[in-house]
Amino acid sequence: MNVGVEPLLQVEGLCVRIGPHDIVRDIALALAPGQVLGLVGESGSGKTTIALALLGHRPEGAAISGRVAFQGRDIVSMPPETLQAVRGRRIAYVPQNPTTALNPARRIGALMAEQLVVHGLACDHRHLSRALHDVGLVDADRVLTSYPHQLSGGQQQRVVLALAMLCAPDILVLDEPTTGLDVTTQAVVIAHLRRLRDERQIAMVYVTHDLDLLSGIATHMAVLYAGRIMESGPASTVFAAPRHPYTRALLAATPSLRRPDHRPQGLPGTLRRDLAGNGCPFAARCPDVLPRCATDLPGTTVLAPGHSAACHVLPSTLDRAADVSAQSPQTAPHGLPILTAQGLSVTYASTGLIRRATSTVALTGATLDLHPGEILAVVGESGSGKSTLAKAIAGLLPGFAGQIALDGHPLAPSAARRTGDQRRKLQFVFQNPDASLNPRRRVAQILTDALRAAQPGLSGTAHSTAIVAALTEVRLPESHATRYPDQLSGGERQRVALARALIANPKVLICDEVLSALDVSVQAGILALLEGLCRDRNLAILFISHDLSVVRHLAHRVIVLYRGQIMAECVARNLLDPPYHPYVFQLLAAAHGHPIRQAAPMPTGPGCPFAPTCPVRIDGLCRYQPPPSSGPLRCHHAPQDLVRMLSFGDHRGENAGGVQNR
Amino acid sequence: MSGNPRAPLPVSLVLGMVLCGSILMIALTGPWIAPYGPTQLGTGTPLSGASLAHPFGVDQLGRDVFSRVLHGTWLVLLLSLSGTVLGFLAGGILGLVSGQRGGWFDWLVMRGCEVLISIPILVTALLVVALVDTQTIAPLPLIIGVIGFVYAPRIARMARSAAIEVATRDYVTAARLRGDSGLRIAMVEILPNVSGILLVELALRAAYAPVLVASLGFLGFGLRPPTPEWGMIIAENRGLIFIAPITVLGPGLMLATLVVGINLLTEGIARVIGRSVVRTT
Repeated sequence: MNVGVEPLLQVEGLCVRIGPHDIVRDIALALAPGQVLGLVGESGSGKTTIALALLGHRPEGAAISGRVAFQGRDIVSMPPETLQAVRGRRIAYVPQNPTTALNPARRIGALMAEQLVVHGLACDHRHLSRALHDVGLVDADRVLTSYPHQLSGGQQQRVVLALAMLCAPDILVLDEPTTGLDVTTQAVVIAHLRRLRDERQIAMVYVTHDLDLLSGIATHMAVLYAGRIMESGPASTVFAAPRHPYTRALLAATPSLRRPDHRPQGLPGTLRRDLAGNGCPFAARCPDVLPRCATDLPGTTVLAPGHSAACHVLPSTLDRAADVSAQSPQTAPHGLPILTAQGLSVTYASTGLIRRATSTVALTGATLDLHPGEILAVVGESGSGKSTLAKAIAGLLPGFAGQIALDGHPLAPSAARRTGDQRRKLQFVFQNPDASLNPRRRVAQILTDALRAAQPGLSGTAHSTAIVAALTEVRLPESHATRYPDQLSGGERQRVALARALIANPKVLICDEVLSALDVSVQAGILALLEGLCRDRNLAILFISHDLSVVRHLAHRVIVLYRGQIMAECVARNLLDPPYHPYVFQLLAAAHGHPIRQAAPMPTGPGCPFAPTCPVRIDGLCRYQPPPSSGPLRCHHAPQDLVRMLSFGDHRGENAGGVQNR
Repeated sequence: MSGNPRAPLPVSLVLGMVLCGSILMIALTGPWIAPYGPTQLGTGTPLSGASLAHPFGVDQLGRDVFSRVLHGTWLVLLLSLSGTVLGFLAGGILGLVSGQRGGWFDWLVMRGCEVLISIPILVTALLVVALVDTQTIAPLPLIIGVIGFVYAPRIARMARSAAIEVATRDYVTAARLRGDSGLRIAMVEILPNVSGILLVELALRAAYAPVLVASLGFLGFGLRPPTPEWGMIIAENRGLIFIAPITVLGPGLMLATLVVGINLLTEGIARVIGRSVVRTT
């Protein structure tokens, strides 16, 4: 790639086949010290297969051909003993899910020592604690004697990283290392990886579906589709001037806090390997498709040194469709709210015979109202109580304090005690359609169940009309009615889940993270569907999400939750403009890759829950007194002070830690 | 999904099918192919051993043991299978509903099941037989009921543990949110997703049921003589074990064949199901 730099890793013509199917084909990559190669693609694109092939891992029943040369030695043909000396020692792997990657029965110290012993290296305590220090785990002694479950997700991920770094490898292969982490933790891990890249010249292969994330760390990019490299080149070029239609579509579909005015746009269809035939695998979904695309496989065209793409068309950079820019939803509708919640508080209690009974406060005094035709978003990190809020309103958590009213009538806390009509008016869409659709029931049966509950005693013809209408409304063909959920793609499944909710003709739709299980390319389609429903049906939608950038485009109003308390409640398009709530500011700073200077941790008090980590907290006040409970920003600081203290002015980043006053 | 449709059937499945199939044939045709009637006296020299005319010998009363075994086959199958199915239905529904409802209902049902399970199977069976008025209930339904009663709590526990896992899935929550009844959730949402586990459990229980039937017969708590039920035949002839051992070994061998056959069949089915489960995930 880079002329003059000896590649550390050179992949040529790599193919992995399982049975008659090519999982990946003709992969060519090169990696030099200090480079970070971003391997990006939708699920099913083969990115993890490539990552594992770089470690010489052969999936069961797979045939690997081609060459993966590490410092000139081929890994694919290496005998197991030699491979073992390379693997983990010279090329280390960071798996996706740290919870399953760490043996829960062993202490971190033992796990780390094992890594060294296996590779015949000396192991002493100082070495281990330095490795943990390096990844930002300061209290190494505690971590070394902890079991994995005693650490948080972010700490576990850093332990996995420390394990990979322990033998000082030349190459790190990272498989979605931050996917399960919160935005702030993600930023810390990325910052650390950047430091490794720059200071130690460690080469990395970073596998992810998240383009936005890659732009903060990758030096080079390879965009995969259906097992083939569509475009590869220096990251700056690929991001600024992508040439392949797929790269462009993927960039257009990715919501980003860096480009808050960019409105995500979906790709039609889904990744279907079986349709590829002899032509370009992307032809079926390509906006610039030519007749020959379906029959001829495009060769790789070198566009500039190091930048190449496999496409017949290669639209020039100029005719790139302009960003459909910020047309945020109109102002929130007024009038009587359809749904109100007053002072919702939820406490999870765990009682035990041996352990002391503990209780966790998940939600404190949440108040909201939702109008017909309005999308109200609730955003927060994991553990912020956003799902708890949704479940309480849906009637899944009977033991809460507070009042919920639908159409002016109070709702019973438990769904079972609500009237059939109340249940019909309030519908819930779950996060993961794989889990929310019964795998043993056909789509038509799933919809029938919902219809029967909503409108008992419907005649046969009216019934089938309703099912067809529901499928049409979510843009699914009628023929899907006879399918089982596993015969549908993830996006189609989520549409069925939506149809199940809509067939009851609800007034309020609660969407609990309905996008997070879907590929970016289909997320935008679901978003457009929700927007249309809200407009055409005058449906009120409570949209639970962790993604500020999605919310900004979709919602009319936004509620930001942190540790069970509402931090901000404002019109969506004001969310990412000053004055920022300090917490929102910190999230934005994390997304922009600014170093986050968290205040020294301290125990929470009766005041603002964000106070312990707030960059601008007022000592002696914030921790002890709750912030004002009205107004858009629930903060002790006046808005004009926040404008002054928290801004991404000319010297972005420097003041990301904020100005400590007093 | 259809990874390898031409995969060979497991040996255990084939062997089990052959063994169970032969017993089933005997059950269906036994009364017609048997050389003598089940209670026909004087068919040969009493207490004589195996011969071509009397493969399982002749008992004290001069009855042909082989004919008695053939005549009794359908009875053993009927008793053990219908008893198992009864216990399966009662225990299965109870377990599924209990697992999906949870709370005090679940607690009560499960403690009740544990009490019943803690008593040895035969003791429970004898208790039931002793407590029930045998004048009003015919022995055939009584034995079926006893087997069902013994099996139900065991199957209930199995069904419950399978249901609990499925009951946390979102599609069950969705059914709750729209107000479906507990029984409907158990039957429509949960049952199809645990049917594989339950089927294996059913087959396992069915494999042990003939032994239970025969044990009850052997102890004299089953049908009344001279019904040619296998356990009873063994009991009648146990005094002849040294004189004409075949009169005891014959019916014992048939019982063993049936139990081994059902066991092999079960294992085969479990393998095929396991394979298809692996395929679909």
